[in-house]
Amino acid sequence: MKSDSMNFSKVRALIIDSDQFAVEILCQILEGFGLPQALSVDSVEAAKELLPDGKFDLLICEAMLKDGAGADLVRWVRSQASPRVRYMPVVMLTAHTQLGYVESGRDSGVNVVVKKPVSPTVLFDRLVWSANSPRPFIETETYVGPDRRFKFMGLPECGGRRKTDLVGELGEATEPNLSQDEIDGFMKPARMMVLE
Amino acid sequence: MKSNESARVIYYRNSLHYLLNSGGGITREKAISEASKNVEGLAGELLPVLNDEISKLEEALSSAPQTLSETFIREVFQRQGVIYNLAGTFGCSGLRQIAKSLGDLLADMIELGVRPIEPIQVHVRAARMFRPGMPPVHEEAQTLLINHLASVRQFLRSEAEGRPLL
Repeated sequence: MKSDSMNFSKVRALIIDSDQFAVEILCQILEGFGLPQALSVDSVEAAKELLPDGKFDLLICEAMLKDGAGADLVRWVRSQASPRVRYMPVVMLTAHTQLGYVESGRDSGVNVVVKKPVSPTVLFDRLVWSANSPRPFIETETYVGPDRRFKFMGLPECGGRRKTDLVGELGEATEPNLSQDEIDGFMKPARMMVLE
Repeated sequence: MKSNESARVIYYRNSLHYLLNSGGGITREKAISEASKNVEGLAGELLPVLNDEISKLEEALSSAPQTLSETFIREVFQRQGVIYNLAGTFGCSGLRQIAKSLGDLLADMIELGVRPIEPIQVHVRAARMFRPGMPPVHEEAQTLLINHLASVRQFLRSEAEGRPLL
């Protein structure tokens, strides 16, 4: 994490959470970051009225809202035509960190899932990461959202379908393979003299 | 993703990126310190809410039937979320753990389609012991209690899945 200053003063954030106390805490955290006033609503319906204008730079959304799931709202956001809305950074908050809940959030197209209770440190780092990460957006018939494969954990079970998944043609070997001793030699720690 | 589905890869810099990096602003350390101070300033106002929420849960459970409706479970879930969040924010560790256990239990109930009142009652009674202002509970007793609550959840799951523990 770079220690450079971040300017939150002109960021327009929309918070969607049915828990008024959680909103109060979140607003205080954002105010501490220098974000003067975040707008908050408590339902999916209210959010859908405000979002199409494209006047928000950040969406912070609870996973369980009184009139629906946060994941459904995020899918709706990702289906909007306006790029400002469709590609806006979305942080999902959840108190329930069972794998199913987190996967549901991730697969709806959020940038990041943050566990409640929210700590200022975690929120600051995740917001900066969501803004500055060069992760591309992936659009398919069933998913629109940031690339979910931002950590390389090997190819998917099907072998990979992206161009970047294809194995390059290496050609015929031109030299004999290394022996095990030679490989071990590379792995062995060696003493080194440092000259000043 | 189906194998014949085509994917578009789009590189888009959002407005948050430009605003955060527009110069000026606040360092990470200062931002986190200011935010933490602001949150601490809310403790006086929000800690009493924990007592209110636990009392409201007790009141709702006192007149509820033995088998609860799904709407009721979802209402309890909302209150549990409030308790968990406030307890976690203001360092009420015991209450946070009980609220977490209640949340896991409610998630199981929704998933399994079973809605007995007793496991929720047990959790809410335990939460009462950890309300702000109550005498502190010894750490070992706290661990024992949390483990018992976990076994209540395990019992419910086993019963619902047709493999009773007893």
